[in-house]
Amino acid sequence: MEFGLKAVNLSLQPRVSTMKKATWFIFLLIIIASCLNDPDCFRINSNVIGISFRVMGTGKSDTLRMYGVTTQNTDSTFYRNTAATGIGIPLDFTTTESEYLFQTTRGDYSIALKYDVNVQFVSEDCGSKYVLENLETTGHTFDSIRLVSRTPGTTAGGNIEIFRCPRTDTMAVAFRQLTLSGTTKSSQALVVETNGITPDFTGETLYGGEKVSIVYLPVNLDVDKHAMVIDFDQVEGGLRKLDLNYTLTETQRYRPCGVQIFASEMIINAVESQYAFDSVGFVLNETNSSIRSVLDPFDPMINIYRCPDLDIAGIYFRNRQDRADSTVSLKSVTVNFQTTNYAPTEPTTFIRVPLNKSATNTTVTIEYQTGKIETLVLSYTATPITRFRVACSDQNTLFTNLAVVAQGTTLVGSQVPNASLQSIPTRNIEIFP
Amino acid sequence: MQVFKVYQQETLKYFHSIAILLFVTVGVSAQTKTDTTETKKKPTSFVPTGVRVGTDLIAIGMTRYVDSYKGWEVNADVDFSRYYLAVDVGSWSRDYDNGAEIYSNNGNYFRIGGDVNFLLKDPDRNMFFLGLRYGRSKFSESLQVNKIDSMWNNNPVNERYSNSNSNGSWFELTTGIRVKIWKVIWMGYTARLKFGLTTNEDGNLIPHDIPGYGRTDKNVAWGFNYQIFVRIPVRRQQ
Repeated sequence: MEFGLKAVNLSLQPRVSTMKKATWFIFLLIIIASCLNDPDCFRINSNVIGISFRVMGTGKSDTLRMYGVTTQNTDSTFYRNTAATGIGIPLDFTTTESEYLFQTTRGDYSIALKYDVNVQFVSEDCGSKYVLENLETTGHTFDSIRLVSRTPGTTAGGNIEIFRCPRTDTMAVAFRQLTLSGTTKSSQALVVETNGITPDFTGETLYGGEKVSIVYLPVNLDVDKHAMVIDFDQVEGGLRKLDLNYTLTETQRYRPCGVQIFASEMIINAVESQYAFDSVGFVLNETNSSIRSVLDPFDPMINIYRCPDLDIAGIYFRNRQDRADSTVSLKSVTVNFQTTNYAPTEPTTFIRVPLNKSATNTTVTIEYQTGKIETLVLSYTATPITRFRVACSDQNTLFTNLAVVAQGTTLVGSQVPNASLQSIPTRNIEIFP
Repeated sequence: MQVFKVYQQETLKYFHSIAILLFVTVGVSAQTKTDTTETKKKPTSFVPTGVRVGTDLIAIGMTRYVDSYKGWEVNADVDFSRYYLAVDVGSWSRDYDNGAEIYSNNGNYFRIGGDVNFLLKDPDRNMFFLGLRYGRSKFSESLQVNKIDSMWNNNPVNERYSNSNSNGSWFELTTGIRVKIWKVIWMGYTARLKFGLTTNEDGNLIPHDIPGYGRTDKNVAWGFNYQIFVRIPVRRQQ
């Protein structure tokens, strides 16, 4: 046991040092904080309300095409020629009531609003700001509205939801291309050129000569369980038919909309084989159930699939000097197992030719407008596959290991950037004429 | 961008607040440990040894040199060992005129709370403290607006808004120092982090500036006093 005094530091230096540091630290923070207190004068009024457009039933967003939104409180026109699922409009803070007129492609609608106006002085530079609250609707001519938040903001928030009655007489159909990448099958949106789509109950031809990937078609609501036949006269593939049955129910689902007729329990009927699409199916919802009822907004409820062209090779013409794609004018392009001429009528940078799945090589003959003729012998491995078996039974061959085994004397150094034929147009071979 | 800037400012303020508290707490914690090891523990006496009364020099300076501000503040504290009962009483008024808007306010306020001194063994009883206050203000304010709004059909706005005898209350987290300068003369500063403001105005005028608290457009406000004190001893320090 020791009885000595411990050596202690009696100096005040640590305390003075700490206090000095604290003094400077706090002083600097105060300076910084005082700088941050300067208000920003930009967009200080809280008078903007957000309005979203929705469809009754699904509650999904609805696109409203507006010629303009006006109010008697200003000469300005908001959202002139705009299509939107939601907008933000300022309220007049010099009064406590405003009425807005929506001029849209569906007609004119109005909404009357009432609110309290509070004011707060901000600074000598900014002046005052106006803060609106207790927003309420005093009238409207829309199908239905819902006040979500009674407090406007400096930017558009979610204050009001405007609902419209669902339309039950229209359905959407999408065209899709089945694809195969490696061993993964999928589909993607497909643009098709139609000569016209003619519902049998209207006789009116829609989408004549248009390139479309989604079509919006009328639903016959006049006859219960009526088979609707639609002729798809495609430029590629000829006449096709879609034959649908559905059940009609007349009921009042939404009070503002009154009694409406709804089509549900839709089924796709088989048609004669010459009029059948490669594949047709209902779109699946989030729970992997088929969407068989007509729903608004009109998301596609039926997909029409086209089988992949797994036997088509893409041959690209390239310039020998700069290795860039080269445009050529062709007289004919043929393969040794068919007589079809695959030469485009216009000058092109590429051609697409089929390969013979019954052989291990195909000879392609290319005749230019100049009279020059070249041949290209392509070898490959053709493997039968079972994907798309039901829809595309005659095209279940996968072409791989593509190679150029012989080429005309004018062709030098042909290359194979992609040795597998894909369903999507692919740059398989590059030649240098 | 505006939203981001406001958010950034708010974040910076909270960061500063936390940074100050951490700095003081860590520094003082280390100091306290040193004190503990250096001295023998004596029985703690909670009998006050003196009353310190002072005023805010910044308020006096602003009253003299800032046209839009008039105010004063008196501060007092009394010690109970390392704990201090602190009371502030003050008054201020502000007047702004930018041509289109004339704003003025005036009111009285008090704050009451406690401080904890973390320099226990300083022979001069110099003080480095953290504290908490409850503040309350009774104030009136008015805003006269005379302008034309070009957005809304050039509607003239000629309105007078006012709040009379309104009340505001809030809390403060405080920190600062008190240093003995000469005999009974002390100086120090107090930094205040003000929060939890509630007001009871019943008109359409949202308070802009509350005496004792400051501007109301942010959830947290800063305050700063640079003070001079006279300490009146009531008992000899042990």
